[in-house]
Amino acid sequence: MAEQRPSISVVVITRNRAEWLKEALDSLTRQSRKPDEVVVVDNASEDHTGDVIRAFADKLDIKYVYEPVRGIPRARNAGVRNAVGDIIAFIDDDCVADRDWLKYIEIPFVKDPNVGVVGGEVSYDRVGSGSVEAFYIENMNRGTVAK
Amino acid sequence: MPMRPSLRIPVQYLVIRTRFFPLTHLYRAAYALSVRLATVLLRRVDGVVAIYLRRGMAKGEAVYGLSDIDLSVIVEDDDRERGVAKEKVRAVYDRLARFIPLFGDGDMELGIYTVAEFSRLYEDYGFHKYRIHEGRHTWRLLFGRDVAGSLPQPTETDLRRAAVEELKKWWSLVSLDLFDGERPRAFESRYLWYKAIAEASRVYLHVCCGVTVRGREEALDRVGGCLSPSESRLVDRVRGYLRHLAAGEDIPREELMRLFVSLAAASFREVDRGASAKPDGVTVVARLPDLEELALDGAGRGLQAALERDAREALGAHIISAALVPQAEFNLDVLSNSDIDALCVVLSSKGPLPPEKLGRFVTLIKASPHAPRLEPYLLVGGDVAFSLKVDEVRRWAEIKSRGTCPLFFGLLASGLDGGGSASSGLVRCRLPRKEFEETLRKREAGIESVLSSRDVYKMRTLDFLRFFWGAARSRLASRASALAEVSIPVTSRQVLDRLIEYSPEESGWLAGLHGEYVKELHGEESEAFRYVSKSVDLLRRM
Repeated sequence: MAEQRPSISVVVITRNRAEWLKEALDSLTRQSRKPDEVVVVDNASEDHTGDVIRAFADKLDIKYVYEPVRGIPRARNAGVRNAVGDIIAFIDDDCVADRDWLKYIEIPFVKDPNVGVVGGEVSYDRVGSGSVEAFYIENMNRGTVAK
Repeated sequence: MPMRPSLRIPVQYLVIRTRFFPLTHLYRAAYALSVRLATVLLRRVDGVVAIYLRRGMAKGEAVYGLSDIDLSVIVEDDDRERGVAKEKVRAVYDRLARFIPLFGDGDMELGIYTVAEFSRLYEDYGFHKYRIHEGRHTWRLLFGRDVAGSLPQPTETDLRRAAVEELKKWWSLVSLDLFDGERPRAFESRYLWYKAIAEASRVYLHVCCGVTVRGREEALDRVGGCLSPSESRLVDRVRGYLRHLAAGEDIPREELMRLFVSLAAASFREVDRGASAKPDGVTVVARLPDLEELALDGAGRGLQAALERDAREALGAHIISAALVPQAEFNLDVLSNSDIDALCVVLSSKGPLPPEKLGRFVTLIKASPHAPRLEPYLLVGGDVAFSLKVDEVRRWAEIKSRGTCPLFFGLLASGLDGGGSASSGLVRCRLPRKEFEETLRKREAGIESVLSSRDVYKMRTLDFLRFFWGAARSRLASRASALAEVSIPVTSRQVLDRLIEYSPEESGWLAGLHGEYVKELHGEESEAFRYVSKSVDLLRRM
């Protein structure tokens, strides 16, 4: 009998990035530690985001939430309200999760009763001008952005 | 960051080739100035109570170009500041080491302790007791109050027991030169062997002859009279190493190893003789595990056969047996976690074994799937065993004697011989009660300090689990320590059985934990981390 097995909800908020969302959800299907549910908050998208989410219904325990009022905080809060897991993991629609992302998020929560929040390393793929990526890398190396 | 390695070696070589007037004055001034600068900068750190200059530099035995400046910094006890003073001291030192190559790696050359930690090291660890006690006569107090001087005077018996711990440090250093494959440069080897033989001689003179010698030259000078003519001639050659560090001739490693082993074994035997005279004792009982229980993966027979094959391949006709013995003594350094389920492979030979053959055996052992738990030993004279593997965490190579590790020798005598036969009988050893209880008390203090820190949850899962089984083993022994006969679990499987007896209602998760631990131990995917929090709770309740 294994001990301490918390459930994990992954919350993804998205708006008009159907193709990127597909990659993000695809990475969740390949997790070594499967998510117990995936809450996707569609923040009033006008593209085929809904179709992409429905296409993953047989691969993930997915919950579709529509939030008509635009804005990241509102969408994120809608995700948290609809999540039922013991642990809530956030990933954005333009990110791809490493295969062991959820596994290594779960371990410190389970091992240490004092842990409330867990963060991980983020690596950046160059997109567009790359200025956002350059800003973060430079400032993280200086220690001015919390790792 | 010290000087770049590519630059360090030529500079060292240049300095040791130019140790003559007036350059020696220049080098001496550089060392003195560096010490002065370190003192000025370190004394400014809030909370620094004392700064000591230790070892070679303090004793006037520094070899310019090779010796680092060894410092100990004592800071105030600070429950509230959580180590801020220590971190500041380390930061200042690291800055110095970055620009001045005479300051070595901070992990190795700099000791930073609170007053309480310093005192505990002295009280609980023989190695530190010997060094700090000697430091009272040889260290230079650069700043502050004399913390070392205010520690209690050890008894002569305690000091002799502490002195042999020093031999383990030097054995670990020469082991790297003998068996590691990547040997240091010739002048570094010569300097290493000079120091190792001199320090072994100092311990030998203290323990076996009752003579206290502070300096290395004096030790080498005096030990010659206690040795055979051939050994004495070798000691004379070793003295020459310091004067001719840059000489081209090779060093006779086999003879040097034999001399070191001979001095060390004699010192351990002498300490054992003193211990065996103690009347009050406790009988410790251990059950010898069978091969399958030792291997923990159902491949015990295969492991034994592989070890014998390796021993014969590497050592040929020299070898009599390669016995597999479980580690059973209590290791005070609980964070090293190297004792539970460790398997000692004990080599017995007909005569002296050449270092290159032993090195070959060590290499073969390292290739075994059980390698992290395997520790090869060379048995000398049937009563002293020298580890051939340096513990990576403690940078330490163990030396076991009948008196200091009675369970090991008890298990060895009753245990698995070269033919691979297993007997699961009980092994009984008589130990001095006071020392047995002292060991348990010290170990309890170490376990308590780990459990009271939140860092316990940050340990690597496998490290934590080895700590868990080892700590539970100690706690079970402590509960029975007042009895005339104390049963000591040897392996994690035996600890598990005893824990289930102790707390039957927790048998379900404990069995699950052990199963996951075995997977973790063999590098398989495991769910062992799920049991960490519960295991900490159990240890706290015990």
